[in-house]
Amino acid sequence: MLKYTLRRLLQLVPVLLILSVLVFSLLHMVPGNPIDVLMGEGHSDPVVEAALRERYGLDRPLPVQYWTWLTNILSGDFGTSMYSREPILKLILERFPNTLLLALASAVVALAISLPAGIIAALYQNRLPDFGAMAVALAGISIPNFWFGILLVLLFSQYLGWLPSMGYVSPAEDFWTAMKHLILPAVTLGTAMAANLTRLIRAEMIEQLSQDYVRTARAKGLGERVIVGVHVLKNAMIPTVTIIGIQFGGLLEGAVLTEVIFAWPGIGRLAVDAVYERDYPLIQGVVLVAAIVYVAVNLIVDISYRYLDPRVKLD
Amino acid sequence: MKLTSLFAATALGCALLAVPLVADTPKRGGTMTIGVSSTTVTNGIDPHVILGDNTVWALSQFGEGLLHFDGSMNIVPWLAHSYSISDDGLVYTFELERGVKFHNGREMVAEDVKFSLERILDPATASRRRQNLEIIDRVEVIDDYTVAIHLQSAFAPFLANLVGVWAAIIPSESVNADGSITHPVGTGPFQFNNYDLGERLVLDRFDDYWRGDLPYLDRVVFTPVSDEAARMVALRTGAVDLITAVPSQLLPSLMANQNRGFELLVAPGTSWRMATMNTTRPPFDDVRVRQAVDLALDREELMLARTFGFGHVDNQIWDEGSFWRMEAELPQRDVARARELLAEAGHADGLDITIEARSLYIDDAQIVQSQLNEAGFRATIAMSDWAALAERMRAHNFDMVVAAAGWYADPDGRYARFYTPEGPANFYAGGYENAEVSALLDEARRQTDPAARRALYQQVFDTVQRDAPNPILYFAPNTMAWRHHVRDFRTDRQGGFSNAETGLAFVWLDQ
Repeated sequence: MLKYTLRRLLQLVPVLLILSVLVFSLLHMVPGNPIDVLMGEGHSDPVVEAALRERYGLDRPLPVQYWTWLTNILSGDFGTSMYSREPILKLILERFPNTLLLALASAVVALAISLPAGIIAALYQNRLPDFGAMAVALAGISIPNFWFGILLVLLFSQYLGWLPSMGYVSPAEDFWTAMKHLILPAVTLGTAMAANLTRLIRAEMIEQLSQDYVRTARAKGLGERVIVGVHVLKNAMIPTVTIIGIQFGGLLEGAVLTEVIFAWPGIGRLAVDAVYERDYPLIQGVVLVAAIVYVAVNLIVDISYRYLDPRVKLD
Repeated sequence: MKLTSLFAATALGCALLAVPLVADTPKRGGTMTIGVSSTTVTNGIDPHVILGDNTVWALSQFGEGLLHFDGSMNIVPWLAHSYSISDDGLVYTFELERGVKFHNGREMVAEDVKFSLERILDPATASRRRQNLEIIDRVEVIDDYTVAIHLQSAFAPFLANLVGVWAAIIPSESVNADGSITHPVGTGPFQFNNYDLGERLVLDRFDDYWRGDLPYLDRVVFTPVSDEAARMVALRTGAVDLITAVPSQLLPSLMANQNRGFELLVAPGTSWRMATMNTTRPPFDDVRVRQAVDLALDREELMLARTFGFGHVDNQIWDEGSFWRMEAELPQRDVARARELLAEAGHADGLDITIEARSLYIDDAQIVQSQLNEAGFRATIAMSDWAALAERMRAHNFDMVVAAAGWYADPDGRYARFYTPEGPANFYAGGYENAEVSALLDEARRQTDPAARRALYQQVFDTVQRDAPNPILYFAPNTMAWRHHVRDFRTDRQGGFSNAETGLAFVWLDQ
C-alpha cells in the first residue's frame, strides 16, 4: 500500500507540471492584464505602469516568466500577490482550513441526509417513502444553491434568530460560536450534494438488493438489518465513495457562491477574485494547491476501495 | 435645467434626516460593524496605493491629508491649519497643525509631509495618484511646522489634488524596507488593528486623536457583504450596524414603511453612468452619429428603470448653486432628429453597433440598447469582465462602452481626464481629440482667477456637450441604512463617511 501511495504521488509530478503550463498559457491568452486592474478604473500612468511591470517581472519574455515561477515554486516560494502584496502561501494557508472545514461539514450534512434517505427509498422502492425521498432529492438538485442559502438565512437568522446570518469565527478562538457560524453554510452546500447522493445511493442499493448474494443471505436466514446494513450498504458504497471524492473536490472550489452569501473567507472566493484581478501568481498558486488536494482526496478514495471491497488490488 | 420631483423630494427627506430631532449627549464606547457592498473591504492597506470608493472610506478613518472636504465638499484646511499661495502660483506654503500625533505616539512634523509627498511621487511606490502631484518640483521643510511645496509651473487644480487619504501624511518608520506597508500608521481618529484574512478591517479608537474628545466609538469593523439579500438580513439581524448600497428595488417599499426597523438614507449621489463612444474609428468618429445617440437617449426612463426614481438626471457633476456649475439645458429626447442625423451620416438603413459593459452595468446597457434601436441603430450587447474590457478600451478597440465615473473637486479633474489624451486610458477610451478643448483646459490650469477659470470651463463644457463623446446617462442615489442605536451618522455628498464635518469620528452608539 505504501508503494502504491508513493507511486500515485510520483504520478502527481507530471500532472502538476502540465497543469501549471496550461494555466500559465491560458492566463496569458485570456484578454486583460493585471496592470489595468492594478491601476484601477479612472487611472493610468505610464511611469507607474512600467514600475509595476518591472516589479512583477511582466516585462520579461513569457518563457522566462514561467521558468522563474517554476524554480521559485520548487524552492517553496509561491511569490506574492500582485494585488494585496501578501505572500501567496500565507493567503492560501490562511483560507484553506476554512474551506476544508466547510467542505467536511457539508460532506457530513450530505451523508447524514442521503444515507438514510437513499436506503429508505431503495427499501420502499416505488412506494410512498421512495416517491417522497425522490421528490425532495429532485427539488434539491433543481433549487439554486445560493437561493436556498438565502431562504435558510431568512428562516433561521431573521425570523427565528437562532443562527448568525454571516461571518466566520475560528474554532480555535471560540468553538461553539464557530459551529453556529458553520451550520448554515454547511447545510446550504451539503443539501445540494445530498440530493445527488440520495439518488445514487438509492440506485446502488436497488442494484445490490437484486444480487444473488442477497438471496443467499436471506435463504440462510440472516436478518434483514444485517443484510442491508452490512452487506448491501458496503457494496453500494463503492460508487458512492467515488462520487463523494469527486464532489468533495468540487466542494473545495465550487463553494464560491456559498462563500459570498455567508461572507466565508474561503479559497473559492480567493480564486475568483484572483481571476477577476488577473493576479497571475495567486491564480497559479491556488490552482496548484487545489490540484494537489483533488488528487490527494481521490487517492484516499482509491485506498478506501480496498477496505470496502477486499478484492480490489492496489497495484 | 430641471430636477425630477422625486429627486427634489429625496433631497428634502435627506436634509430632514440630517437634522437630529433631539440633541442627545454622545456616549463613549462600543463597536460598530459596517457591511460594505463589495467583495473586499479595501484593496490594500497602504493609503498611498489605494483604489476604489470603499477603500477610501475605510482607510480615511486612519489616514488624513493636509486638506479635507467639508460636508458641502469645499476644500478646508486639515493637518495644515492654514496655507498661502505665492502671487505667481508657484509656491504653496502650509502651516501645520501643532500637537498632531501619529498612532505610534510621535508628533507629526514637516519632515513627514516631505516624506509622504515624495513617497507618492516615487514610481516604485506605484501610487495611482502620482500624476496628481507630478507638477511638484520639490518639497521644502522650512521649520518643524512649516512646509513649502514648489511647483514646476502654476497649476490651479493643485489644492484639490492634495485632498484625501491618498495624500495622507504618514511617518517614514511605518514603511518597510521594501517600500511596502504592513501596519499602516496615520493621524486619523481610528488606528489600524488588523486586516483579518484580507476580509475584516478592524480599527480601534486612537486615544490621542488631535481633535478633542473624538471619536466616540471604541472600535469600527468593516466587513464585506457583497450579496444584496445577505446584506439586508445582516442589518435586520444585527450582524452589522450599518450597510452601504441598499438595493434600489427595495427602496419604494422601504421608504413607505415607517416600521422597517432601521434608519434609511436615500440621497442624491455623485456616481454617474456614461455611454462612451469610440471617436477614433467609424461609425462614432462622425459627430452626427454621436449626436444621434445623444438625442436617442431617454435619460429619464433610464433613471426611473435603474433607480426606481431615486436617482436624478443631470449633465454635469456640480449641483445647482455650486461655483463650478455650468449653464446648460438638459438634452431632450428627439428620435426623429436622431434618425435624420443618422441618415445624413449615411446610415439611413440603420447602423450596427456593439455596446460593451461589465456585469455591473449590463442592465444600463440593455436599456440604452433598446432606446438606440428605436432611433435606427441595431445595437448588440457584449459583456466582459473589467480586466478584459479595460484592455480593449486602452486600445480604443470597441464601439460603445457603458460604464460609470464619480465626482471631482476641481473641473480639471473632470474635463482633462475625459477630453484630453493625458486622461487615464480607460476614461479617455473614446479618444476624443479637439485642439480647442485641449488649449482651453491648458489655459484653465494656469489661470488662477476662479471666475476666469470658470468661463474657460464653460467653453469646454459647451463644446463637449455638442460633440457628445460620452453623454452622461443619469446619477445613481447614495443609499445607506443603519440600526436605530447608531446615532449622529451623516454621510457626505459622495456617500462616504470621512469628511471634516461628518464621518465616523462623530458617530456614537446609544446602547
